[in-house]
Amino acid sequence: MMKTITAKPINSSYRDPCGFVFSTKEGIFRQINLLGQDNYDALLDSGLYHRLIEEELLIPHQETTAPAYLPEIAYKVIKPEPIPFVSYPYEWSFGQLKDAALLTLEIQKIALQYNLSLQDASAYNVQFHRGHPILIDTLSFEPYQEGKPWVAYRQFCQHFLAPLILAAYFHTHFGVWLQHQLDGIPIPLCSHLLPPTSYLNLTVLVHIHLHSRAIRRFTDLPSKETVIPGEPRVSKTGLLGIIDSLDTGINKLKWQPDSSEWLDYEIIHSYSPESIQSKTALIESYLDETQPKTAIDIGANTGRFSRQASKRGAYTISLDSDAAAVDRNYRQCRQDRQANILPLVMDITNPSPALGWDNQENLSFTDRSPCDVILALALLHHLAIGKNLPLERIAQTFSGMGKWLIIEFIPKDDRQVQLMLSSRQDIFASYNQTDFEYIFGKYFTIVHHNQIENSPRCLYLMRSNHIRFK
Amino acid sequence: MQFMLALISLVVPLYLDPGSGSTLLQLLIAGLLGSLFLIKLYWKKVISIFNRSQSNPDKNPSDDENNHSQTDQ
Repeated sequence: MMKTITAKPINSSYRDPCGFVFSTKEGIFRQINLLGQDNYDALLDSGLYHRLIEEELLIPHQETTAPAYLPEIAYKVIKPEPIPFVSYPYEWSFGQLKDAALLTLEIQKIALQYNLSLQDASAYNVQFHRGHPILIDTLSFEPYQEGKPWVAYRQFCQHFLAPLILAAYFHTHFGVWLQHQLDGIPIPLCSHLLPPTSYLNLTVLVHIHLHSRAIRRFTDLPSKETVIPGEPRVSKTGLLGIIDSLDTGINKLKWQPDSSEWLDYEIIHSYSPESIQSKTALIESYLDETQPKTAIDIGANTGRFSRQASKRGAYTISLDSDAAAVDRNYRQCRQDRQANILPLVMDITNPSPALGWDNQENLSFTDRSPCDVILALALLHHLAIGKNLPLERIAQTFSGMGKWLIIEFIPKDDRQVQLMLSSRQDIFASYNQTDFEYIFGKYFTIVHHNQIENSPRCLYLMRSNHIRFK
Repeated sequence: MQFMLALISLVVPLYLDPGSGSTLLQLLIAGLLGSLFLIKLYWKKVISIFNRSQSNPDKNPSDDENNHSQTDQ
C-alpha cells in the first residue's frame, strides 16, 4: 500500500511506538503498528472495547482499508469518530479536568476487570465529545500483569491530581501552570507549595507528600544501589485500592474561586426585561439567517447566548476568561445534557499559543478557530477601552475567525462604559458608532444593524470579506 | 517514611528509572489502601443489606427468590 500524497502525521502523536495518528483529506486516521498488534487485539478480543463504547467512555472507531502512512510497520488503520474541536487541559475549567480525571480512573477500574490496564494516563488523551469527556487514545491499553504497579500512576498524579489539588487549595485556575508544564505539575513542586494543613488530607498526604518524598529519595540514586533481583508486587486489590483512593480524593475536591468578576454579571447586567428580550430575538433572527454549523461565542460568561446557537444546531465553543463562569457553564451543560457546547477558559486577548516540540504539538487557538459565526456580545468595549485594542485590529482579527460576525456595539454613554472610563482618561476618540461602522466596514459587509429596544446598544450582523471565507 | 522506603529498596527488585519513586510508593501504599478498599466494599454491602431490609420491613426474604423465578419463567 502506498501512502496518499496528502497524508501527514499529527505532530502531537509521536510518543507511542504502538501507533500514531495521521490526517488525510478523508479525515483523521490512527495507524496501529505491528508493535501494537497484541495490545490492540487484546482490547477488542477481551470485550473491553465494546464495554467502553457502550458506556461512552472511549472514542468509537471503524477498521478501514485506507492506506497506512507507514505501511512497512503497519498492522491496521482505524478511523476514530471525529472530534469537532480539540481542546487542551489548560483550557478546561476545574469541573472539566475533574471529570476527565474521574473518567480515566473509571476506565482503569473497568480495564482491570478485563485483565487490561492503562499504560498512560495523559490528560491530553481526553477530549470533550457530545458534552462529556471521552478517552481518545485507543492504544492506551496493555495486558495487566499480576503484581505490576500502575505504570501511569505518576503521570496521572502530575496531569490530574496535582493541578486539581492546587486549584482547590489556592482557589485559582490551573491554566497557566499546565500551559507551562505540558507533562503536568511535578509532584515535589506541588508538595512544596501546599500548606502544612494539607497533610491532614489522606489523598494529599499519600499521593502528593509521600509521593514527593519517594520521588526525591529514589530518583537520583544510582541503580546499582537499589536494584535487587526479583519481582515487584502490587496485588490487584492493592491496585484497586490506590485507584479508589485517588477516585475518592478527587471526588471530594471542591473549587471555590476567591472572586469572579462575571458570575454575577447575568444578575446585575444593564438590560431591562424588554431589552434582553429584544436582544435575544435579534440574535435568533441572525442565527436563523446564517444557519451556522459552528460558532464561537467570545466572552460567553455562563453561556446564555451560546445556547441559542447550539439549539439551532451549531457546535458552539463558549469562551470566557473567567474560569468560574466557564465552570458554571460546563456544569449547566452537563446537567442539561447539552451535547454541542464546549465551554473553555480563554482570554481572547491572550489566546492559547502553539506549544510543544517545534511549536507544533498543541495548536494555537487561532489555528483551531475558523468557524461559521462569531458571537461578540457585550465584548467590544472591554477590548477597545479595557484593553486599548484599536478597532482596526479587532475587526481584522474577527474577520479571519468567522464567516459571519454578530457583534454588539455599546456606546460611550452606556452605564458600563462610563464605569470603565470613570477611573481613566478617555483617549478613545474613535470609539463611536460612525468610526466603528467605517472601520468594520473595511473588513466586513454589514448586513443588518438593529437597535436593541429600550437600550442605547446596537446589534450588527456582518459577513467577513476575508479571502478564507470567499 | 524514609526508613520504610529504604526498607523497601532492600527487598524490592527493580530496575529504577526516573519513575522509580512512584513505583516504590505504590508498593508501600498498596497494602494499606487495598485493605481500606476491601473494608469499604464490605461496609457498602452491609449498608445495602441493612437499607434493603429497612425499605421492605414486611417483605419476606423468600419473596426475592419467588420474583426471580417468575422473571425467569
